[in-house]
Amino acid sequence: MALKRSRQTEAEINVASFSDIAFLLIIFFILTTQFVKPAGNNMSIPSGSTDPSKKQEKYLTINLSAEKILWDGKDEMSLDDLRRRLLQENLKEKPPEQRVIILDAGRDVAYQRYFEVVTAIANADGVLALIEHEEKQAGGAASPSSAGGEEARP
Amino acid sequence: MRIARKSAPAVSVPTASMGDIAFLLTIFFILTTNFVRERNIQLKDPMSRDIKPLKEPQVFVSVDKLGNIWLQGQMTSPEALESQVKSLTAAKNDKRVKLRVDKDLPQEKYGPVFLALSRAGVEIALVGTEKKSGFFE
Repeated sequence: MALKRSRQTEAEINVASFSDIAFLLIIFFILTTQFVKPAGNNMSIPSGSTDPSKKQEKYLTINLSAEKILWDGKDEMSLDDLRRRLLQENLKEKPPEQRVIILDAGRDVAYQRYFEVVTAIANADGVLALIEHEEKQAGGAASPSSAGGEEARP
Repeated sequence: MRIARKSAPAVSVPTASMGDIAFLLTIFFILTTNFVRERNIQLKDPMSRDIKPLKEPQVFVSVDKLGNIWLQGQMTSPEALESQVKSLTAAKNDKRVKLRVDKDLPQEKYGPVFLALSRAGVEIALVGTEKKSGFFE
C-alpha cells in the first residue's frame, strides 16, 4: 500500500507587522524626545562668610521689589536702564572682588522679574551675591540679613 | 471581428522597503533622543533677553507653580536639597545644576532653593526662554 507522504510545511516568519512596530516606535520617540535646547545663564554661587555691614559698605547693591529697581539704594531705574548701567560699569575689566553685586530681592518679587535682573547681571559679567531674608518672626517684621558671599559668576 | 480588450496593468506601490526605512528611523531616534524628564512638572519658564544656549546639565532641579521642589523628578524639601545635590554631584565632573522655576513664583519660594544650591557649591544653570525684542513689543 502506498503511503501518502505528508507535505512538508514551509517555515515562514511573518514580517508583515515589523514595519508597523517600527512606525509605532518612531511615534513614541517623536513624542518623548526633547527638541527644544535649553537656554539661560550659568552662574556659580559659592557660599561664603556672613558679614552684613562689610558687604553693604563695600559692594554695589541692587534692591529689587515688585514695583521698582534701586541702584545702590537710591537711583530708581527700569530694567533697560539697569542693563545700560551695568554695561557702563565695564565689569569685564575689573577683578572679581570689584564685580560683586548684592541683589536684595523682596519676598514678593516674582521669578520672572528676578530672572531678568539676574541674567542682566550675568550678561554684564557681574558677580552676584544673594541676600537671605530671615523667616518672619511672630509679631515682627522680616529683616534682611546677609547670608554671606554667595558669589555668582556667570 | 472581435477585438481583444487590453487588460489594464495592475498598479502597485512597492512597500517592501518601508519596513527598512522605518527601522532606520527608529535607530536614528534611539541614538539621538533626549528624553523629556520633567513632563509631569507644571511650570512656565521665565523670559529674558540676556540668555544664550546652555549645555544640558545632568542634575536638574525644578520649582513648580505651587512651590514644590523637584530634584531629578522626585519631590524634595529645601532643607534636604543641599545634601542631596551634594551627593548627586560628588562623583560627577559636571558640577552644574539646571534650575527651572515657575515665572510667577514669589521670592519666598525660590529664595531658599538658590541658597541651598549655593551652599551645595554647584554652578546654577538658570533656564528660561528668549525674549525677542521685536517690533510689537
